[in-house]
Amino acid sequence: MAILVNLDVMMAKRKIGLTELSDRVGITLANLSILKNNRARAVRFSTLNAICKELNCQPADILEYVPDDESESDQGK
Amino acid sequence: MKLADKHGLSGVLEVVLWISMALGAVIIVSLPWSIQHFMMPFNNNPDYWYPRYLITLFVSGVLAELILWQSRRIIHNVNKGTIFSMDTVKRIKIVGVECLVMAAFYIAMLFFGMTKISMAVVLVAFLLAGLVMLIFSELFHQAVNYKQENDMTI
Repeated sequence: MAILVNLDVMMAKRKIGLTELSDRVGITLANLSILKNNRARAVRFSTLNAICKELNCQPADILEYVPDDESESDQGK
Repeated sequence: MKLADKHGLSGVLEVVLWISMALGAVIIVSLPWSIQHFMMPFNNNPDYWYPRYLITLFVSGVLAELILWQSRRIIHNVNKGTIFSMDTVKRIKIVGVECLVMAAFYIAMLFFGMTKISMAVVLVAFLLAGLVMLIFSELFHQAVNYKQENDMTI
């Protein structure tokens, strides 16, 4: 996938755990885990809005575009 | 009464399919005897018709049992709430292929003297059912893809 979700980086910066974030954002732990581990196929604006609001950040802080080859080699590491 | 629920119509249908399979098995096993006693007394040439009836009904029965088994598994998926899964897609496709095999067998039996109007009716019915099932399996495949897309949208 060319779009990477850097949610874990932002969560570490804000010192917030997955369980607490899922409670505050209002999505299940399982779904948040899918998002954090880059297994989601799409993100709703409402979810992005809630995450950005809770983490006090911009969408670009969470989402990153990486060209496909680079993304695959990163995942292979 | 709910339609697609373990305690609804599909739950009842699963039990009915189990009973149908059991009855079907009894009928298949008793074919040599039942054809001899129920069909041959009204036949003017039993030596000619007996083996043809026996082979036709035996193969039809076995294929019908296989179709019933797959149908029961599909209904089981409905009752479990996992109707849109690759397992359902695979089973619908198998039912389609089994229907086409049944149609092909009936075509073959036409060349062995089983030239009855009822054979032609069953042949056309299974041919159409098989083709419709294959299309349905493709539709379900697409539905499974849409569901996965929806499930993975956070």
